[in-house]
Amino acid sequence: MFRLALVTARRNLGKYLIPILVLAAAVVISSLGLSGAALLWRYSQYPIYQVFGGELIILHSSTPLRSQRGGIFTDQFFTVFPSEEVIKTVAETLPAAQATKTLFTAGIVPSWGNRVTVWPLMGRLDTTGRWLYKPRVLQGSNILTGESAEAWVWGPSTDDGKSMFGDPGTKLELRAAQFKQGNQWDVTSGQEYLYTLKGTYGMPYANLALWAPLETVQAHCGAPGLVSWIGVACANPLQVDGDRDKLGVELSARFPELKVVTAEELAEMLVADLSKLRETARYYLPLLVLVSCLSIVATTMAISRSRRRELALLRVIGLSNNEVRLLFIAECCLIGLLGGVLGVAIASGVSLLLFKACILTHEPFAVSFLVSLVTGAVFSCTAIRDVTVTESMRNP
Amino acid sequence: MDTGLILSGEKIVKSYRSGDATIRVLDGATITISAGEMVVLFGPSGSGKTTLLHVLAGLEQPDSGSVSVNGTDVYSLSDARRSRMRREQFGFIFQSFNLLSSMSALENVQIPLWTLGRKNARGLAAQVLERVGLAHRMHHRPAELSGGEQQRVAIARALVTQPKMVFADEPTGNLDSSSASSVMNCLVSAVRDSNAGCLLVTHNAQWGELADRVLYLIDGRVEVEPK
Repeated sequence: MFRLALVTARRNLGKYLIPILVLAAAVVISSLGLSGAALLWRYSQYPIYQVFGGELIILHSSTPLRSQRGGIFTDQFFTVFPSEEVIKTVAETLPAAQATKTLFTAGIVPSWGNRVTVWPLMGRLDTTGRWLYKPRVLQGSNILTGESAEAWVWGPSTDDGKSMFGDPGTKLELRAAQFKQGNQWDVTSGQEYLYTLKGTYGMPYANLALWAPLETVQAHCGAPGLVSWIGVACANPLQVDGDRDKLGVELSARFPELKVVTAEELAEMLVADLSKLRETARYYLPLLVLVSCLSIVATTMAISRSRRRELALLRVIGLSNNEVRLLFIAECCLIGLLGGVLGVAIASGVSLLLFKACILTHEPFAVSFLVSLVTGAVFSCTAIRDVTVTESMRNP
Repeated sequence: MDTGLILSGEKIVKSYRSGDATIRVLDGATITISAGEMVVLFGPSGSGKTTLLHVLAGLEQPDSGSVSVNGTDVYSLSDARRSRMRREQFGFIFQSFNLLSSMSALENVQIPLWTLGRKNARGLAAQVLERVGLAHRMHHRPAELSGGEQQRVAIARALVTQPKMVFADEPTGNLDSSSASSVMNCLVSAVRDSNAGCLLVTHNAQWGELADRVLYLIDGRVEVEPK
């Protein structure tokens, strides 16, 4: 029976070309929509307030995202700026007295070729799996020390897929950078913490953590003295509230290419985008179901009519109603499978082209397959009911 | 003569509605066919030959009467069991060949073997096609074969499972006389070789001489002599 199902399905595939293409198109549309929503959703999980403390000013250029190995990355060519100049501006704009306990969260600057990506990260995973990153944490008061601590590292990976910080198990000496009087960012004399590298994670995951000396990172990335993201945090948000705009204006004036966005603004932007996309994406799945259903229904109706004689013959040869029904369902499953696979393949390609991201959600594929299955089941009943064996087999 | 299978139809009545009228096509038809026996059933067009064949083959339930295979009432079986019986014990040949156009001759012959889950279906089908003289045409599709060749493929398909009973409904009706003779010779020798019973329904009198027994369907009844 399996062989028969396979051969009949294969031989009738040409007849199902249109529903397969329609199904693939539906899967493409919904995959792109759902993937986009998923992308933003994941990004929204990134604890932006936690990471930036909610009281940071972020300087950044736009960051298109792409997915890779389960995380979201960016490999945009970033504009980089001389860190000393930026630091100096920060120091001048935010007087030391006001920012005594402010920590400079210099981004990591991963680089391969001349690509530079900077992440305003920092934080670490505590023993309970809780993401710790708050200005007070960065002061060192809550940071666990010792061999037992583990670090998940936001690992700007190299082309060979390895983390720049080494393989899991590597001991990392991680140190908080301290902003000091005299326009100095001290990344050498702060307290060191020894971590065991547990793994490398993508950006949106809350349990990535790294605190590394700026020069190490810059040197590693071949971008000494350069940063493109800078966050400025303060133990007490109220301390910078009044000066935040001032700092933004100052930095924008001095570095016109720099875009100054506050953490709140960034978060609002993300949430707004996400809401829009999620709203839109809501319609994709029902649309997929509808389009798929209509396509398969129309085709199976047409085909079941044109194949009445074939179905009758199979009945005569000795297939029971249920077995003929199974053949029909198998064919519809094949349509679903082919349409789904084709759709997912196209969606992946388009997604990479459009979004520089390829997050495949399983829903469109699952729904298309399910729709094919159900449609096959329903229409096989109709097809069988309409087949009058003796009428179909009568001599003309 | 092998008496391994006896197909028996008793007092079969079958009517059709045509508008307001009811036409009684079979009116107490009784027939018995044994394994290895070739029975030719004559009758004019519209006399109910095909209907009787369908009823005997378990394809169309009679209004009354019974059909039994070795004493088992065919219509008391479930659809699945009746289908299985057809699959395992019956073979069918039709006037219009009824080959699946999307499949090659070889695949068409393999269909019954696939339904039975037989191993080496391809090899068996190729052997039977060779036996009916189509070894060189087995990879052709029906549209690429002549009428006679298509009917020989149908014969191969009917016989590939070594059925106990073959139902042939006007197998030469669509063929010219030379092809018809060739196909009939092929059918008869194949049926004889496999020792299957055969009910050949036709209105072509010349095939009577090939039969062990000739019957006539007249006024819905099976008669041994023409009126």
